[in-house]
Amino acid sequence: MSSLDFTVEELLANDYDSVDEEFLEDFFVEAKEHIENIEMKLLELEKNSSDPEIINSIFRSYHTIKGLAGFVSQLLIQKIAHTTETLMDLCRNNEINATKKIIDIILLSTDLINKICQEQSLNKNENFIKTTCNHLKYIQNVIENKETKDSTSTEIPLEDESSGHLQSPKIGEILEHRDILDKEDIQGILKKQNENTEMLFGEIAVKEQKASPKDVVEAVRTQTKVNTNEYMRVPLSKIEHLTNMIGELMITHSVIEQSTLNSYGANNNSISSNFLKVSRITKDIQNLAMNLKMVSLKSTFQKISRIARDTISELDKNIMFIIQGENTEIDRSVAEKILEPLVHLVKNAISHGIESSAEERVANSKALQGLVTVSAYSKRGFVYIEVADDGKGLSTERIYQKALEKNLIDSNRNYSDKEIQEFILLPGFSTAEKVDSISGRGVGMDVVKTEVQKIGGKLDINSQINKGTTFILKLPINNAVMNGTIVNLAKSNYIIPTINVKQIIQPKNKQWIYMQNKQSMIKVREDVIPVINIWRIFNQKKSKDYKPALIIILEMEHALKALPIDSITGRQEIVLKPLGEEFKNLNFFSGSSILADGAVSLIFDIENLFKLDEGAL
Amino acid sequence: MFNFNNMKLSLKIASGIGLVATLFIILGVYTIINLSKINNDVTDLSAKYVPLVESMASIEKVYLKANLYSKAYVTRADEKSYKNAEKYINKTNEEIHKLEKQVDKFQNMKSMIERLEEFDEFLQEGKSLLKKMKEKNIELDKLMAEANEYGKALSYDLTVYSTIQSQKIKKDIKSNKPLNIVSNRIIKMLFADNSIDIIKTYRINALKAIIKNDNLYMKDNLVNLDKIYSEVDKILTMTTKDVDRNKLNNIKKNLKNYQETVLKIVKTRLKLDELEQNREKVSNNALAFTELLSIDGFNSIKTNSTNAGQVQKTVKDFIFAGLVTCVLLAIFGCWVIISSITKPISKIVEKLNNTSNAVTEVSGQISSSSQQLASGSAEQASSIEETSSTLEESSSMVKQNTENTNQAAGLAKQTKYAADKGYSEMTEMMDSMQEIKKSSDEIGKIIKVIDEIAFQTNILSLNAAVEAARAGEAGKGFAVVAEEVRSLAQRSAQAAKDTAGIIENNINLSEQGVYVAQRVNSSLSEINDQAQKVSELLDEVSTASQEQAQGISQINNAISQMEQIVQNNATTAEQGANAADSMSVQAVNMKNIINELIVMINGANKSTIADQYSNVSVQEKKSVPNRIKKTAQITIDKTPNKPVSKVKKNLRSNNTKVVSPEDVIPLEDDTEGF
Amino acid sequence: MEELQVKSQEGKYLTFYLGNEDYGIPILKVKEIIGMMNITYVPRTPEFIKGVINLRGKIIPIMDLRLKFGMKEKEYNERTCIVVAEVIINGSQRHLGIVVDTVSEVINIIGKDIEPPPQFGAKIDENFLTGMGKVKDRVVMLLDIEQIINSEEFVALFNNMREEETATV
Repeated sequence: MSSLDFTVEELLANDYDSVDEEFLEDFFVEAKEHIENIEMKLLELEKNSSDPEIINSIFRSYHTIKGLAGFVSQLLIQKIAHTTETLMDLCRNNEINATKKIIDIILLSTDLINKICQEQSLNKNENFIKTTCNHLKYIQNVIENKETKDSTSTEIPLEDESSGHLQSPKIGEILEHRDILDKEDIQGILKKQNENTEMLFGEIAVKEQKASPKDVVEAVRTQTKVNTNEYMRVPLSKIEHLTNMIGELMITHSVIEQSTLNSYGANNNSISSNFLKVSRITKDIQNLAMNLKMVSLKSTFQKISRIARDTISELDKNIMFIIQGENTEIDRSVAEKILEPLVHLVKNAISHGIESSAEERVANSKALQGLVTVSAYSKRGFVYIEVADDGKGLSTERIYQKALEKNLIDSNRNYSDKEIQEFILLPGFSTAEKVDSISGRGVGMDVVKTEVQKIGGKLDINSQINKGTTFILKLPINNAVMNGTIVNLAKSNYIIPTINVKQIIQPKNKQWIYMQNKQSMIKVREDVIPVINIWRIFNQKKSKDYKPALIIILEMEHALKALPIDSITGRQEIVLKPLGEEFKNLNFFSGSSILADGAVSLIFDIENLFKLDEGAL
Repeated sequence: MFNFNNMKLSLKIASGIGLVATLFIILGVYTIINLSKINNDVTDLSAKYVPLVESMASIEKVYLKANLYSKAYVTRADEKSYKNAEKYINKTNEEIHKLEKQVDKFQNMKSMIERLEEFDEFLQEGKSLLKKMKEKNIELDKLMAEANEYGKALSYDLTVYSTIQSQKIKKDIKSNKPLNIVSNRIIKMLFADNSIDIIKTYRINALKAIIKNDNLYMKDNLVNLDKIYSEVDKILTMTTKDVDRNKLNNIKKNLKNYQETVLKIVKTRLKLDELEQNREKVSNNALAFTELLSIDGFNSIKTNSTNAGQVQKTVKDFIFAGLVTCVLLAIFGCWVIISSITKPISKIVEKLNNTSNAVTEVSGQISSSSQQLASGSAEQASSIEETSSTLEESSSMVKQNTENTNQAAGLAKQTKYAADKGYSEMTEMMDSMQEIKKSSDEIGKIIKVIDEIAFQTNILSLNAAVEAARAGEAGKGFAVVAEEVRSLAQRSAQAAKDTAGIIENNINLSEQGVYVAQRVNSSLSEINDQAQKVSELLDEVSTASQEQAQGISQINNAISQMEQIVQNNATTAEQGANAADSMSVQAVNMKNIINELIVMINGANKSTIADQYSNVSVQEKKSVPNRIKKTAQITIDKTPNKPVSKVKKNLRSNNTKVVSPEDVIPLEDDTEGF
Repeated sequence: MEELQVKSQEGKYLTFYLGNEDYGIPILKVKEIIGMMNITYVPRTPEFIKGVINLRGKIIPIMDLRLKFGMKEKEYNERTCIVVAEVIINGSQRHLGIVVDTVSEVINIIGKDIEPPPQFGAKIDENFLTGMGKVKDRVVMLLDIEQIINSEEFVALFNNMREEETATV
């Protein structure tokens, strides 16, 4: 109905450029948020189609998009939002059931809005407008079809709209409260609104020059967010800069503290207590800054769910897709970067992991419905995301054959199953027999692996024939703070992640066990712990009877190893900084940090250190 | 005796008396020694012998007690007596040992120790005998008890036997047993009763014997009991029953035991008697010993007292002899002294007479020399006055000298002050130099900082140049600025370097300055030292001058005093002349007095001696020079003549019989001669 | 051809000293010049890599040019500088600190003053030189910093890294 009052020409003629860039940017960001919310709710709705709260939430989001779009001249978005909102209103009033068809329609609307947000030129693209109009017409038809069935209520009461259903204050009231409008203005605007029911309260207020568009936009925002925390949008780069600066601040602080205490003496109570205060505050600020960057995986997982849903319906497979641990928090930059690898893994799991036919599953006495799970959890300073399927598992035979075919491996060598499974991560390896739109884009798992490594993560494969495959992503929570134990070794400071430190002991002569020409061991109570030959790893020579002052016992996934050190310098929160590319080969260092004295200190990568000690070098 | 004549009169008298006194003292000392000897003897008597006798007496006493108890034990044989006896024997023993120790002190009583030891042996023997007696007594008591036991048992057995037989008799009579049986029974019973009687009698007699100490009786009467044996044997033949036979045998056995025991008692008792006799003998010996001891003690006392008596007698005789000797010696002494006094006095008087004549002569001489002295004194006074004026002149010179010296000292002090000042100023200068050096160093540091800054600026400008280059065309202007900044930095670096050089030079110069200053400083301190020395020397001169002035004034005083004295001397000389005159007169007086003394010594009868003396003196007078006579005459004229005439008269009145007064007094002759 | 190459060398150079010798690197390759600071030693690196420093929060590796050129090591003093160079390694822009005795100046060298590097007799590998610049009475050796960094040691460093990757993952 009303939404069709705009023709394609009218839409094309709309002046999109008259709006302030800043407003527009704000609008897109906010619209995206609402769309995310809508998508998430829709997926919930699919499972529970009768929950009025979900429908209400979706309705409100469209309503807000509609309202905001009007003020930034986003006519097309406004139209889509308005039409979809009308549909949602019917759902809300139980005039239409939220069937899969309806949900698909709504999802399509969000896609359209999302596309416009990402590409403004679509507003001028005739084809796109036509597609949109067709979609809207289709919605209109649905609404009208319902109307033909039940003609009792065709009009959507505008008052209801503007009052926001959930006891939200009216736009007029907010504006009045902000001393922008008086009672008379509101009466006048309401009168006009009654005359022209298509116009929104805010629109009329702007047209009558009673209020500026900005006021109205803010009022609308206030209206929709009145019950939630207030947010402020800040560019990520600023936060990143902030955290960096806080890191530098902490370092500078400790440098000043040390030099001040050195010159005034640590006994100066007022100075040291003030320093303590400042360092507490700085630490709090740092934590806050770190927190600013932490986001839950919710939004990432929503996107994945959507894609999974689409993929499943496209392939027409009977697969259940489950998400777990979406509240796990991770650094925002990490969260952004893992989306693509995750999508790839999920698509792979759906298309290749799960068997193509139900018969195959039945033959292996598995449930008809396949299961793909994406779960996230944090453990020991890392976030693990697992993508698991209960499908056929990786066929080592096929992988080996393929790798040989593609000349990726050495045919003379014997490989373990685990090693063969990892061939799929080699560049240029793609097992899918035909290239399809879903997973065979010409790039293989190597891209996934590279991406994960870029973030500082790790990819592990765990597969069993006919039981399924699990891809495990081990990701750092953030690339910033961790607790490190600073040790001194050969006059240099090194950092050991405190999480890996089990014990520090002063070795006695009788505790040492020397192996012939091999690495020595140390006996700690009942345990005999191998001592890391750090000099071999460092490529340094040390006299054979070198006796370290201390031994630090390291623990990594239940394995214990002893590292000889000269002394313990301290223990502190450290800001992790990556070592340059130049030192990438020194993988027994996970990075570096700047200590209190401003000097750089290298951080041991315990896992690689253990591996190296076992003879990888 | 020659020496005695030369002795002083007082000494002679004293020696006479002293001799007598010495004799008395010798006598006294001898007496005291002998008295103390007697005293010692008496003390000995009381200190040594009396306690000795006392302890001997106590030994006797104690031993008598011991003996008494021993005897008591013999009769009573009781524990108490024994203990007492033992106690007193021990006590005696103790006393003996005590005595032995006492006796040990006396050399002359060794024999007594032997005697005491002998006595001790007796005592020990007595003791051991007593002990043996005690043992025997115990044995006896035991035997007595045993005998009693056997006796009792025997009586009892027999009584029982008798009772049984009497009962049996009654039974037999009742049952009308044949008479012979009954009679047998009666015999048996009678036997028993009889035996009881015998035993009883014997036991009573035995007791009596014991009390009476009649040992043989017991033994003799024991035979009475033998009758019982035969009786028992007789009855045994009549007795058939084993029980009764056993009983009878038992009686027999007991009887035998009893007899044996009694015999033993008798034997023991005999032994006891024997022991008693021994003991008695021993104790008698001991007693005799104690008596001997007492006598010994007594004898020694007697000897001592006799000794004392003899000594006393000797002393008495000696004292008497001493006294006689003393008296004789005293008389002799007196005679010697008296004679020794009178002889020399006469000689002295003679000499005195001569001397008085000489004195008269000498006094005239003194008078004339006094006159000479008076005129000399006047001359001396005038020359002293002259000396005084000369001294006054030199005194004023010394004063000026002192003033000059003081001035010089002041100047020297000023010099020293100036040198001091120079020194302190020099030190200040050196400090300043050091200060200059220090600030130069600081400037050097600052220059280093400037240099550092210049270097940093250089780097900064290079960085700016880099930035400018990166800015490309837009940075061209900036590059120029950077270049300028760089050249500025270089210039300031150069300037800093130049300044550093100058400062270096400065530091060197100031170091040199410091060196020179140090040298000047040492010179100044030398000057200071010298000035100090000069000042000190001048001070010394000044004090010496002052002392000199003081000395001169002291001389002045002395001279004026001398003037006074000279004057006094003159007058005194005159007075001396006068005195010499009067002395001549006095000499005449003295001659008279000597005459009187001669009379006094020799008595009126011996006036010839005096005349002799006076003659001698008159002859000597003629040799006196006339000059003196004259002066003497002058003074004598002035003096009154009375005393002389008096003496003349006295002499005349006293010596009328022997010589004429003119002869006697030559002086008068002289006077009359003129 | 050579002419052209020399011509392209024309431009501004930052000059510095190693011993008594003047060296120059194109100013556009220089990010900044800093004074000496504490260098953290990194094990298992070639001798001329002194370690890493913290440059305002960035970790950059430090190379001692003396050691790289096989010269005698010299104790660092207050004149010792680190020239932070901006270089392209394996296609990505990196920063690298170069320890020099002291920096001198920024000079403009025109094309005609630049001569090609001598084929023999140069104290250092001629591959590291792009030319010899004449400035007044001095001769400045113009260095190709990327060539230095991309020399075998560095290549080996990176190759090693790749091997490691394949071996451990």
